[in-house]
Amino acid sequence: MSRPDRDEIDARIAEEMSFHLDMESARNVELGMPPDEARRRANVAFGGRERVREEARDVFRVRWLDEFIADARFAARTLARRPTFLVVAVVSLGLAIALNTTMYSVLDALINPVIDIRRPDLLYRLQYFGNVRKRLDRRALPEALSAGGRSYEGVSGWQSRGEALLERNGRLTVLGHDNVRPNFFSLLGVRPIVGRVFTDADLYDASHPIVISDRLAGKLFLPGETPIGGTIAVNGVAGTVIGVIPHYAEVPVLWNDAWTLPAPGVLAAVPLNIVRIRDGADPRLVRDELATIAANLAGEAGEPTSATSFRMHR
Amino acid sequence: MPPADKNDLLQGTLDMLVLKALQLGPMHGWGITERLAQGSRDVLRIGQGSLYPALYRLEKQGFVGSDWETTENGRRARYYALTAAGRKRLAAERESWRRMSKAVELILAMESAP
Repeated sequence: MSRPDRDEIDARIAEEMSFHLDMESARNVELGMPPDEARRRANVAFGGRERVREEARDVFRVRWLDEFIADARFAARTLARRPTFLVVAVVSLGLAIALNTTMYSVLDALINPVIDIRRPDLLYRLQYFGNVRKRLDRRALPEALSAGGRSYEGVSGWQSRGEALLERNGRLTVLGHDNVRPNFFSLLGVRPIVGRVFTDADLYDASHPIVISDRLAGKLFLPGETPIGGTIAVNGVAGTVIGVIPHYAEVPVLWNDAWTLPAPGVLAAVPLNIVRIRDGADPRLVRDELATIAANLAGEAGEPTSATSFRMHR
Repeated sequence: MPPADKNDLLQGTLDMLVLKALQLGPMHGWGITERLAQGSRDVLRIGQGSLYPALYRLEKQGFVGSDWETTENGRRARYYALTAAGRKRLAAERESWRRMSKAVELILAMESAP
């Protein structure tokens, strides 16, 4: 019997059942039953048809697997007897598969860009509304957010600096530039291609650490030249490249090409606008926790609770 | 305790009975149930819900083959036939059944000590 597909199996079972019931009904009629009663009795005697169908499908499903294995063994024996044909077939298949895979990867990257950051589904934008920053110490808000966080893993922030003139050894380009908090990349979970991302210690590093995109590295560094440790002037201020990350054209908070840290004294100027919630945390609970923090800050500042809030959104 | 229902069948014997029914010649599913009922003088009525999965399983194992044929009254029906492997299997099953039934008879024939 050739390999049946599911429709063939179902059709076969249906026809066999129909034949069986017709024969049983006819025999019941011969025994003197009215046709309706004869059919009813035949149906009752047959039992659950769906169970029969399922059991039959199970039998044939396993049969497909058995036949596939048998076919594979037969193919292996045939190919082993013809080594030249085997080599040509394998090389041809390999080339065809490689070409298809490459084309698929290119198209897939265009249609579904891969965001190589850790669990992007747990990241939310964070916005603060209120006036407590004017009434409290400028560190009060970030400290309150950092001290909270039972339902969220952490907060960080970035501030666009617009387009910057980027220069290295006479090569110039103009690309987007952000100031970020030291934990910006680690909170996002961005993996550098080479080097590293910022740490708190970099805030006080007089060499002005810079993280750049691979796109910017390609524009300012020669092929084969390592960007790590290289110097780049950002709007005339020299900094040292400590890491190169992929260029994320599809991720708004990452689509620029150069990132620097603010001076330690003005870190608070970089807003906390990203929150990573804990895996499994209900975003509603995070919002509740942020509302509590906002209410506490408002209380400390003597502000009405309703005038202070956080908004968390995609 | 009431006597066993006539539909009850010792587990594991269905395959042997189906193979035996087909030893008489190719037959469709309904015909197999009739052969078994007649052969057992209506004591054994195979549940049709059990028969077809058993037939498909035996076919998969290579003990029976099947094909569409036309019945005497012009209906298309799936006929099952015993294969060579099925005949060997039937012989082995019969031998096993004989040993088992003899063992059961011996147990039932045991007499209590005086």
